[in-house]
Amino acid sequence: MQQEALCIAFESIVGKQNCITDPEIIKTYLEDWRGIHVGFTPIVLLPNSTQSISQIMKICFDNNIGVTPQGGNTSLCGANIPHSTKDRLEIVINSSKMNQILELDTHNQSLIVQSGCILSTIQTIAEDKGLFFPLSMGAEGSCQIGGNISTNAGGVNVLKYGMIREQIMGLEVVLPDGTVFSDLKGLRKDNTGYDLKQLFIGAEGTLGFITSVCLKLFSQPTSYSSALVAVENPFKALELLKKGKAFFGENLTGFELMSSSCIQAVEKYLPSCKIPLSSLYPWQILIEVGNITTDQNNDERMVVFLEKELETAVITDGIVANSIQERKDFWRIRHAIPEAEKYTGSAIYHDISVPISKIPELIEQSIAELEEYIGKSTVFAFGHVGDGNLHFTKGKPASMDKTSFLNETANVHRIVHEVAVQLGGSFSAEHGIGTKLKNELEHFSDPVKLELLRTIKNSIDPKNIMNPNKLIS
Amino acid sequence: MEKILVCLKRVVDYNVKIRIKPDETDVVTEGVKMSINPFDEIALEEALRIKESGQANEVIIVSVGPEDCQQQLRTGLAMGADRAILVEHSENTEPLTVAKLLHQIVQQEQPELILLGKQAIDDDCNQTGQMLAELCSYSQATYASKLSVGSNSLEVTREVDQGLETLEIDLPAIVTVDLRLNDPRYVKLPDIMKAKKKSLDVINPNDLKISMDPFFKVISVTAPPPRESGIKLSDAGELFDALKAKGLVD
Ligand SMILES: Cc1cc2nc3c(=O)[nH]c(=O)nc-3n(C[C@H](O)[C@H](O)[C@H](O)COP(=O)(O)OP(=O)(O)OC[C@H]3O[C@@H](n4cnc5c(N)ncnc54)[C@H](O)[C@@H]3O)c2cc1C
Repeated sequence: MQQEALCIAFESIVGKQNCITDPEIIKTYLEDWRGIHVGFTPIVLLPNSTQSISQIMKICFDNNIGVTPQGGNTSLCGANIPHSTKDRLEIVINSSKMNQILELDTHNQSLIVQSGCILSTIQTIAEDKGLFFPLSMGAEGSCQIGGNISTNAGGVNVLKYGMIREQIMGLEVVLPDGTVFSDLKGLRKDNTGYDLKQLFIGAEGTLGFITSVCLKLFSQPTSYSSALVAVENPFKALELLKKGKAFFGENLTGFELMSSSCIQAVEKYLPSCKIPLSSLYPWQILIEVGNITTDQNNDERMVVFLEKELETAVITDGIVANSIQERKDFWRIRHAIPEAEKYTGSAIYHDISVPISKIPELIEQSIAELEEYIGKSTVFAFGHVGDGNLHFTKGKPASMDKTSFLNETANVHRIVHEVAVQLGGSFSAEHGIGTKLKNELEHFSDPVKLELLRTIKNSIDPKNIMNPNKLIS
Repeated sequence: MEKILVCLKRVVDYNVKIRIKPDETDVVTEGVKMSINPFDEIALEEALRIKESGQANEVIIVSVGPEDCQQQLRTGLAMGADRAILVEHSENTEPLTVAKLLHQIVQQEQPELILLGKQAIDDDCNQTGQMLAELCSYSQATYASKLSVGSNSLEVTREVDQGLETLEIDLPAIVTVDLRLNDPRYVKLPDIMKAKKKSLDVINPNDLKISMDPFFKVISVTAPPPRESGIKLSDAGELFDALKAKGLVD
């Protein structure tokens, strides 16, 4: 089919206004959040029903057209960017208009929504019923649940609630040929063969288009006790984490480490953020407890815990939030780091994980090896250290020009990833593979794993329709 | 000056989504996050800044309310107040009763300056400061957004509907403060620990010989009607027609 005929066919499914071909408007669908990955497509579709997506997929399947599923466009590994070429047309199906809330069951504590619902909307819907959806991250005002599922997103509550995989009870997915795989039952137990929905979680849109999802909800914490504390080094952070787990048990929901460079970047580039603790402290930690009792002394317990750590010099200073506003101020800093990083100039980004005990070594070794390889520069280290996850960003050394620095990206990645893997870790903790880390996947994975990945991809998507050239080729 | 007295009320944290009790007698406070009334926190911050600039010797905080108010008073002490007084009363309080109790405290302490929030965010009464000024026969200025202390007077900038109004008033004085006066400090852990040694006196209202009987009776507490969702119109003509249909223009 010619492109014009295709557009007419698509328009008849989604309507003229939801079939975008104007290059000016399309631009916003072609670039990732950091402006690192830029692609091309002549067609972006905004369907609003499973049926429409099924019809679109059928056309793409019959005409061998590639499809990039897209949600809120906040992916950090280029997985959301289309790469249409002369040889093969690739279109974007964006889920923004798939934003219906389908069913909320307060007894079953489950919520069924379409995949284009924005994460923060879902959080609010649960909260209005006294329930809680734990996935939370800096991008929550724009990322969509379909994108979250496709990246198996983690975020700031993994310590207690796990990655989003653990919060999914059911999925509805349109397969590459337009068939609909529906498994939307809100069941906590269902041992009826391979748990197929798991395949689509974290698949980065390479196996099918997620159209609806049944989410697991939880009881809402009655309140939070949050504190911002200063520690001298990552070893002290580990000690605090261990003691915090012993003291608060599973109610410890957040433990986020931030290097002074991160706090200083926020202070400098986002001056509307309040900085409660001096940015000169080498490391700060945001520690949070989700209270489940209505006891008014919850904050008191946090003070009791931290006082002891201050006396024994595990921490050197600290502030306990006295109001919900202060808690928001703390989180605002943490969530502002990725944005502040963008203003600091060229940088090379990593999202790595190791067994929690290896975090200090991971930081130390990566810094040392990069310094030797490419020179001294600012390093931004922060992240969900309670999960063994670190975001590690190497800034440009002052002596280098931008191009020669960025030309080293692959080598810098390899050095840091090698350190993580040597320590028993992973080169991609929560952001995924996309196009950014495809080579690393090939390099670091066991051949048996690669073979299994390819077998699965080929059997579900034999024509390589879904998000071609992402994750695995 | 010798002493500044700051009045603090314990209220439901302003970020909490308020829920009504099923029997419509009150809002739910059980298990809800409580904080210092934000305007009162600003009043305390201002008092501390005056003291830190060497223009006052002592900052005393006082609260009327249940035993749990001690938490907010401890926070106030950790912010830097020198001592605290709690007039303990577990039932709801009304502005006039609170003003009478505070008047007794003022007579005991003889502060030259009294700072309060312009209103409490729970009942939004905006009365206590004014009533207290009358009972004490102190000069008063409300809605302060700027304050400077002179030798025997205060210069106060007030936020009024038309803009800003600047007054000079004599000490002793009562000032109720507005949002833009300052940005209160965070409380550091070492200061919380130090504050534990500061004195917090608990007083029974009976000892002040003030009747706590309420002046008014709450008949019911109900939620405001939910806001109707908006509609999208395509042009000014449609807007005019829609407003006309509602009788808002003719
Ligand atoms: C400021 C910031 C903070 C972040 N913090 C975190 C964090 O703490 N933890 C974390 O895990 N991640 C984080 N991320 C990255 C994270 O992966 C994304 O924010 C989010 O999960 C992606 O959702 P999205 O809707 O933007 O998806 P997109 O970026 O649009 O797409 C992501 C991937 O999902 C696929 N996809 C999207 N929708 C569908 C669908 N309906 N069916 C099939 N495939 C689909 C796309 O093809 C792509 O492969 C952050 C990103 C930013 C910008």
